[in-house]
Parts: sequence; C-alpha cells; structure tokens
Amino acid sequence: MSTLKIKNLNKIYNPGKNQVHAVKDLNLEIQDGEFVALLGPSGCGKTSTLRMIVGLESITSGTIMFGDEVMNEMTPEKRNVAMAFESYALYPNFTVFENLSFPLEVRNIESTIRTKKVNEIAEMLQISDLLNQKPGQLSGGQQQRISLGRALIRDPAVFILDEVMSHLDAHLKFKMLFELKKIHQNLKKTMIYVTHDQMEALALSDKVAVMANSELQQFGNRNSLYHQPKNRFVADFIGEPATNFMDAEYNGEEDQGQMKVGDSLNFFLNEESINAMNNAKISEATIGIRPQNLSVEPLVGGKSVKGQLLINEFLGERSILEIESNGVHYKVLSYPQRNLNKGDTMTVYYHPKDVMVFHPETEELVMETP
Amino acid sequence: MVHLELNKICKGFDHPVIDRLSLKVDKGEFFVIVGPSGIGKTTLLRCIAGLEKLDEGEIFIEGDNVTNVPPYNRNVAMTFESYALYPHMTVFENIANPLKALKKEDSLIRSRVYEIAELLQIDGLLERKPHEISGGQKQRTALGRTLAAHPRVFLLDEPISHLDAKIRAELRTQFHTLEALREVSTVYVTHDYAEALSLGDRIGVMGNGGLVQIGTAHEIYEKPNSLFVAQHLGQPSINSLEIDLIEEAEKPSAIAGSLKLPVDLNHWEHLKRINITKCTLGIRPQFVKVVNGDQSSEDNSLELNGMVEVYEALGAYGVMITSVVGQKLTVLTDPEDKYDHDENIKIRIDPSTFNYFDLNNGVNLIP
Amino acid sequence: MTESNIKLIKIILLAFLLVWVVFTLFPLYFQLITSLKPVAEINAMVPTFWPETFRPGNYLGIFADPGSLKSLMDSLIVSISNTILSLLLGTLAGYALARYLKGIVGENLAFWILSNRMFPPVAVIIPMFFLFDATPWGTDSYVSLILLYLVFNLPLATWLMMVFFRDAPRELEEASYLDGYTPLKTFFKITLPLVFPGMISVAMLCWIFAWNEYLFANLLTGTTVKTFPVHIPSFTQGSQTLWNLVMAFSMVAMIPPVGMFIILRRYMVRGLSLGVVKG
Repeated sequence: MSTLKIKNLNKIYNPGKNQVHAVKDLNLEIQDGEFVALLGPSGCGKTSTLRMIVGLESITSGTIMFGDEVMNEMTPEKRNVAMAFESYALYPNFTVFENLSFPLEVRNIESTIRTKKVNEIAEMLQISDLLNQKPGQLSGGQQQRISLGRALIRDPAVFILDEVMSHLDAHLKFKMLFELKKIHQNLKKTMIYVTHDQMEALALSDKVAVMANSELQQFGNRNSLYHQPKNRFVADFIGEPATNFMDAEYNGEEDQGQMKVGDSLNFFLNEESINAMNNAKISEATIGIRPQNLSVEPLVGGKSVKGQLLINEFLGERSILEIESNGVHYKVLSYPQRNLNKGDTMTVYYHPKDVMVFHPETEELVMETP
Repeated sequence: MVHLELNKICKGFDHPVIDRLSLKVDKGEFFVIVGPSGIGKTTLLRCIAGLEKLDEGEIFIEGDNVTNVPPYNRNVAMTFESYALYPHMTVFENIANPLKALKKEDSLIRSRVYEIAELLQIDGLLERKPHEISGGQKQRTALGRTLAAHPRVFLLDEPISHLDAKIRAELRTQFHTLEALREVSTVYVTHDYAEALSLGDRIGVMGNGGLVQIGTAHEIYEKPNSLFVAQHLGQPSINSLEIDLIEEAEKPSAIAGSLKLPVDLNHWEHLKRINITKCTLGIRPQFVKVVNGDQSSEDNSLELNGMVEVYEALGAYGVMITSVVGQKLTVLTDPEDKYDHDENIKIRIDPSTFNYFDLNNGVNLIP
Repeated sequence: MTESNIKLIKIILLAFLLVWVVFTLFPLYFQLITSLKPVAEINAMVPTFWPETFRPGNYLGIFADPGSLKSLMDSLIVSISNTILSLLLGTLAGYALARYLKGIVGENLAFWILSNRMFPPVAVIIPMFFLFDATPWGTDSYVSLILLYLVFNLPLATWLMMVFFRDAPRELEEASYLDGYTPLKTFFKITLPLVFPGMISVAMLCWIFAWNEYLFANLLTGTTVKTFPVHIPSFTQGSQTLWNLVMAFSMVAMIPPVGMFIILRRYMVRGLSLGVVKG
C-alpha cells in the first residue's frame, strides 16, 4: 500500500426526509507512513469517516482507495486495517498473551511464529511481564497498551486508533502520547488517530484533519493550523488557552493598517493582511490573537497596547494573565509572574503578523490571494 | 480568623483513608486540595459535609463543634462530581431547593434564584430539566444550588474536571470572580494541579492519609517539600534521576551513570551538612533549555550534548524527550521550533534550579 | 458482509417477528370474535374465523345477570386495596432494605422475602382456609382476600422496590441533606419521585395478580364476596358452557388492566431516563 486516498466521500443516514448528512464531500490524501489525526467536536463526522475507512459503514458516494485499489465494496477483514478502540475491547477471559495472539490465530498463523511476534510486540510496549495475566487485573494504561499491541501485531496497511486515550487520567495520557509517538517512529506505518482533544492531535500527528459540521475544515500540520487557520472555527478549536477574538472596525488606509476594537484599542496588521483587507473591501471583521503571541515583555519589531490586569492565573510552568482594555478582555500567556497584581497597568506587546483577521460573514481568514 | 477547623480527624480503621488530619481554613479563604485519584479527597469533603461519620477527631465551623451535627443542620453546601442535580426538577427548582428547605417566602426564593441564575449566566435555562442542558450548564446549576442559601462553608468536589478544556478555563475564571465564595470559606477538591495552582489561596497536596504539604501556589510549586509533591504538580512531570554526590577538588558533582552535573554551592552546603551521598535529583522540564545556534552561555549554567528521542509541538509549548549521556530528560521548548528525532542538540541546565530529594522517603533535602 | 446479505437477514428476522405476533395475538382475536358469535356458531364442528352472524347483544346479555356487575365491583375493591397496601408497605420496606441493610444480611433477607413468592400456593390452601376462618371477619370477606393476596404481592413489591431504590443515586439524597432537608423529607421530595416509574410497574404487577387470581378466591370466598374469575363458571348452564358470554365477560374484565396500562405506560418508559445523574 502506498497512500490512502479519500475522494468526494459522502455519508447520508436515513436518506429521505429526515436524512442526516454525516460526511460531506470529504477529500483527504494520507501518505504512506504518515501519522494523521482526525480531529473535531462530537458529531462532526469523524467517527462516520473512520467507520467507512474500516468498512463498518457503507459509503453513500465517493471512493476510498488504498494505493490504487478501491476499497468501497471490500469487507472489513479484507481491507487489512487494524483498529484500537476507545473501550480497549479486550477479551476478559483471555490472558494478555492470548489477547495479543488472537488476531494471528484467526488468520491461521503457526503457533511458533505467533509466540515470536507476541514477544516482540510485548517487548516494544513493555508488557512482557504481564503476558500471563488477565486484563481485569491490569491498570488502564496497561490495558491501553495491550489494546494497541493487538492492533499492531497484525502488520496491517493502516492503523486506526479511535479515541484511545480518552479514558486515561492526565498524567498517564501525557506519558502514553510519547510512547505512541515512539512506536510510530519505530514502525513508520500509516496511522489515523481519531480524537476530540486538540492537544492529543497536535502532539502525535504529522498532519491534522480538522472536521466540523460534517465537513473538512482544514488539513495541515501544526504550524499551518496555528498560524494560518482557514477560519474562525479552526482558530478557536486549535490551541489552549483559546484564541482571543475581538470585533473590530477597519477604515481602510486612513487608519494606517489598524483594526479598531471599541473606542481606544487598536491593533496593527502586517502588510499582507492590510492588502488582503483592502482587496476584500470590508470595514468590519473579527480579529484573533493567540494568547501565546501576546507578551508582557517587549518584542523586537512589535507593537503594543495598554490595559489593566484582571487575573494573574499561576499554572506552574506558566501564567495566564487576563487583561482588560476599555471593556475588552483578552488573555496573555506568559512565564510565571510573581509580582503582578490585580489592577496593575500593563503594556502588552505583539507582532502585527500574529493578528489574524476573519471575515465577518464567512468567518474565513482574510488573506491575500496569491 | 479561622472559619473551618479540622482537628486530628480520622476515617477508616483498617486502612486509614484520613489519618489524624488537621487543617484550619480562614474566613474568605479558597482552599484547594489536590492529589491523585483514589487518595481520599472526596472522603475528606464528605466528612466535612457530615455525610461520613468521623472515627476520631472534631470539626468546628465558626467555632461551633459540628462533629455530631447531621448534614441537614450543618448549613454546609457541597457540589458533587456527578453534579447530583434532581432530574425531576427544573433548573429553577434545583436552585430553589435549599431555600425551600429553609421555608423562605416564595417571592424571596424567586428573587434569590433569579439573582444567582443571572450571576452564573443560566437565567435562560430556568425552566429546563437537567437532562436538557449541557455539561457546563449542569455544573453552573449545581454551583447555583450551593450558593443559594448562603451556607457557612462551600465544598466543591472536582466541579469542572469532566468538562472540556475551553469550558474549564471559562469556569476557572468564574471561580476567580465569584464574590460569594470569598465571603465564607471554600474547600475545593481536584486532581488537576493547574486548577489547584490557579484557584487556591492556599493549596494542600494530599497523599496517603493526609496533607503532605500546605502552602500558596508559588510555595508548593517552587519549593515542594517532597518528591511526591514535585511529581504531582507539573506537566510534564519533573525529571528525577538517582544520583551519587561526590566532591573532587572542591567541586561537588552529581553523578547519574556517566552523566556528570555540577552541584550549586549553596545546595552543596546543605547536602554536605547532612552527609548525603546518594539522593534523587529533580529537574523541572522548563528549566532545561535547548540552545539554539550560538547564544552566549550564561554564568553558572552548563551545556550538554543530547539527542532528540521524541518531540511533540503542542499549542502553547513543545515537549521533547532527549537522551543526554544515557539519561532521559524531558524538556519544555518553544513550540515554534522544529526538531527531528535522532537530531543532535545542545541543552543548557542551571544547577541552581535543581531539587534534591531523599532516596527513601522523598523529602526535599534543601530547606 | 455485503448490503444484500444485511437485507436478507433483516427479512428473515421480520418473518420471525410476524410468526411471533400471530402466535401471541391470535388468542385475543379468537376471544373477540367468539364474544360476538351466537351459541350455535360456537358449537360448530369447523370453527369460523370470522363470525357469520354478529351478536353484539352478548355484551348486553352478561349484564342482564346481576352477579356480573357485582363481581367486577368486588374485583375492583380487592385489587385496588391490595395494590395500595402492597405498594405502601413494599416501598417502605424496600427503601429500608436498600439503604440500611447492606452486605450479606440485607442480600439474604431480601432474597428470602422473595422466596415466599416461589412457594407453591396449593400447599397452603387448606391451612389458609382454617386460618382465615378463625379470624373475626371469616373467610368470605374483602379483608381476608386482600390480606391473603398481600402474602404474595408484598414480597414481590418489596423486592422490586428495593432494586429500584438501589439504582436511585445515593448522591441525590445526600445533596438534599446538604440542601437542608431531613432524611424523611428527602425520602418524599427526592427519592420517591426518582422511583415513581418503578412504583407504577410494581403497581401494575400487583394489580394484575389480584385481578386475575382464581384459586384462593374460589376456595375462600364465593357468597358475600365474589370476584369475577369466580363468577365466570356461572356462565355454564348444565352441560352447556356459554362461551360467547364467557368471552364477552372476559373482554369487559380486560378493560381495567389494559386501560390502566395504556395510561401508565408512558410513566414506565420515562423512568428509564430519569435514573441518569451525569451525562
């Protein structure tokens, strides 16, 4: 297999009056060995997409191709896709060893080869000493690893991981994210990771497909999602703490490329955005600035705004400062700040390039058309 | 002024969940208890609420001994992790319930519920039933119910841990700004250290049987009294290495395998005095810096060669696991930087940020 | 599995469902048509599956007999009283078992209470007769019958209510204590509404048992009190059983339980979703 191609994929449940259009014209191309995350809020169509790739759901229209082979009519077992589930789905009456070797047993693989493979996988996942235990005796993290192992052992063309971390507590999840990434680095297999958690998606994947309202919003790597989000939804969904959005006015060149928020708060745009705004001929827009692109320390080539500190929220590694300027609230991510107190007057710096402008109606990023 | 006092309370005979725990919470204080799940945080709250009987010890609220007062006479309000909203009642009725228990007049109840609903931005939902509203709205309703009757103590059990990140941040801000919570005292339980650091006037870190450390956010984060506290507060977790301490030609060093790190002289004074030769070294990931290009070396810091094992660029920060002379170190980086795995990098560590913990009991060796 | 396979399986399953529906509903249908036939048609060697002559008058005929109405009345009195008592006592006992007797003792006690219901009634029918005969109100009275049915319905009601109370989240009660309600008020204000759908189901079960019971009613009562199952045999005249009247009377006797079920059904279903605290 070389690539996974999804062309104009549609899924409609209950065609007719009460139809639900779960996936709309999805196009996606996943290269061999890539780690791609399918990210979106619940009900965005990611699970339907995944089920169509695996073959658990029929395709209303469009094609799914593995390499040059069309998969639309293939049964799941013929597609050579392995999947790990949110609920682990381990067989409780089997030992860990039997759980891991089960997919091979089903395919009538010799027992010596089976044992060898199980041992290899177990070593990679560091579960060698658990092989004789039953899943019920193990912790959530261990069960998760076995569930991954059972998917990995088959050497399939594509791995699909469906919300596999959502039941782990924060510390364990953080650890597992790195282990999974390491596994991918070792195996170099195509993996599709389905999640609603943007942090997991960014951490693991080479590219993220952001879905909402049955449609693909954007498909790209961290930097493009972060700095050139296609629309307001992506800008809001990706990144934590959330992007600051403000409604602003723009009066063409007479404001020298400034967006006016309320009466006295102005944000400068960079040249490209100014050109784009002039081309788009709009006088109102929503601007978005990420909290980590605002700084309380001077930036080279940066501009600044002034405001009052409302909350200095210390979070250990960093602080989130909530600042108010003439009734407009926004958050700034900074190094831990010990000596700032409520009511302090602050100067907040930013680079004009980090001010994102969204169209008031389409909510799409206003950018220069090349 | 002490508002809530726990005096050597015990719960659980065979396996004490709470073992002679004492705590004083002042009037107006927001006290957060943080600890791993299953450690007994909820049990502690239930003891204060009167839902669990103490095996030993006493509880005082505003100086009254309430140890044997049943929950319905304690005038203590609690939110449950599951929200515990009455499914057959509307949001209005849920919030009004504590007021009805006090047999307040209808008009009074009405105005109080509206006041609270407006404060919590749920005034549009008053006629809905709990199953018709979202998780965040349920949480606000549960909070509204606790606020309604002006209780003497607020107990909040993991109030926001089941919500997603955005709503959590929003509700954290709400807790920061709710004046009502500052009028009496609040005990807030969570397993999320960031929530604890954000909200607590003081924070108690709960370990087996009791509170391991009590202090302000900065105190417990910057001066953890034990490895347990240091590991629990912080993500990624603090790097911990088992080291040997040696002194060669007046220069103290910490040795882990073939990695040799200098020891800060101020630290060394303490370590030498108590005659420690082996201990656990703790290094916060944010104090390990990746050197980009030819930045000039600062005083007192040390540059080491490392190799990237895994790198993940998240939203606000990047996390790297690097291998330095056979030791694995987690490093926090700028998310805009890009690293490939197996890439060779240089890292810089400042020994004055090191923590030293006892090998056996994990106590911080530097006072 | 291909699309056509799935369709085939669907068709097979629907066919099974159809067979099942015919099997269960046919007796009801036959009862209905029999109640509308004249006697001659009923006695025909080859049964008709659609009445050749309609006799709706059968329904008037049964009420010409003064005993019919009275027997329905008696059944109502016994069933309603018994249901109310079972529910009242069963709910209180079930709550006590669910909340205050936990562990092995509670589990065993609850089970042995239920085992009462598994006891073959025939074994005690004679002792029961003498027992109630010795009471001041005698055997042939409402009180005796109501109490006797309680022996069977109360264990069931207690056990089922205990299960419902156990499923009702304890935290809601605790939240109510913290709101300032005493345990007694909490029970009525919070807990009872939570198990209300369960109570409806229990009431239905108790009511149907009391409504249709024949064995004890026939042995103990028959003169002052005569419930409708005991009245049905009176439609036999000599060697001739007037099946059309029996069926017509049975149709009338079915109205109360079926009507009640239709009215209360929506509360029973709603109850399933009320138990959810989180979500």
